Amino acid sequence: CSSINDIPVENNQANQDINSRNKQVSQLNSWTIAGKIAFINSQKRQSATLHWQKNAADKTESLNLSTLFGIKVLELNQQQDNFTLEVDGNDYNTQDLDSLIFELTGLNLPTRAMNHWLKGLAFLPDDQVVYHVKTLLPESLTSHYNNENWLIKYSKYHHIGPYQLAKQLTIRQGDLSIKIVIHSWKI
Amino acid sequence: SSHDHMDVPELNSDVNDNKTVNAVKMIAKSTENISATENAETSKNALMEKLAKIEFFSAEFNQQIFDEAGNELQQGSGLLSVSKPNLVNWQTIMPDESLIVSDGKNLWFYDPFVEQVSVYTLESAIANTPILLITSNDPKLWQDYSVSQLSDNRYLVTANNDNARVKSLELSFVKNANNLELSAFNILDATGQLSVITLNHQHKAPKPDLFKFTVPEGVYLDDQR
Repeated sequence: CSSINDIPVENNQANQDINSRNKQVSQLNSWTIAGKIAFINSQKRQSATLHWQKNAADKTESLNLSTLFGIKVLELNQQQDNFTLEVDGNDYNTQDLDSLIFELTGLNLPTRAMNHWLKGLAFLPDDQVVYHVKTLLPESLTSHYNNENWLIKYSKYHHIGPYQLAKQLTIRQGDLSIKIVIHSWKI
Repeated sequence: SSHDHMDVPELNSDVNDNKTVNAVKMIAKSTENISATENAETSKNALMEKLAKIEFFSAEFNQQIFDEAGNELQQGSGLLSVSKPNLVNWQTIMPDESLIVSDGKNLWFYDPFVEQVSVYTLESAIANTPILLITSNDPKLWQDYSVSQLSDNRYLVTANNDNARVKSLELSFVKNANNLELSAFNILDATGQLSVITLNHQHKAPKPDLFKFTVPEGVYLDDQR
């Protein structure tokens, strides 16, 4: 699955109505993202290259964070319903990913919710999405995931094959800001 | 961004081929079957001798990062300038910018993505920036590494410390109009992840100010010294 076309979406007209896009992207469950991710809070700023691959057919997922020279910082792998997390060369098995990632790395990375948020979709039933008045694409999303307040902002929408997907997101929670720039969506 | 840009020649990012994926298998294999009797001392001296011949260079680099199964995780390119002793300017341009400068004393890492400059002493930086080994002939820096010769122009530099994050560095040289050039270096991390960096030399001496660094306006300084 390679990136077919990748052209910016014009920001003055709608190509899809909200419901048909939501329905369409919720069926997009096999994709690969290559990009960069940053974690910025008042004490620390860290960035890493991001490679995130999800394959619905064989129910596998892998998320890899590495340094500029390709040194692995963290890798998460899913086989069926089992997640393994590799940090500093040690492997951990878990059902509760978010707390294990936080415990090991101090990073607040809600990967289950982000699976939906990345596409501008609600994860929890009461997540709220605000749509751009002209393009009708998700502009921001608020959530009470993990009883915290999350604000996600979307920008740089591109046509990726038949989909309209954002190539830049910021996820804010308390004084933490997670910034994601997607260099390529492969579907 | 705030620091000025050199006008960058059109960078050719050649498509990866399975030659590079074989590099993953080959290194894993070659790391295992290096016979203990190999005289590491002579290989290290041979490598140091080759590195001593390389006073300075500037080159376009292409970088590909593979996971341990050989899938490509990331691709990038930019400019690398090196001079002695311990002077490095590593400027990533694609897919986005970052800059590493070693001024001989400290290592500056500027990441515009988080608007931050981190600065380390050279000794503490070497563990995560293996390129520094290439520009130094300081035995103290080299004592933590052993060298084996894979072929007349390929050397494998392996970290002696088992829990080093960088497991080994493979250096390849090529003779070009009777001077010696570093043509590629591969970084294998402790988990088997491989960064393959190929160099395309621009035959001009790097300008000295490439190896000086000033923190750009409005950027956060994270002093790790």
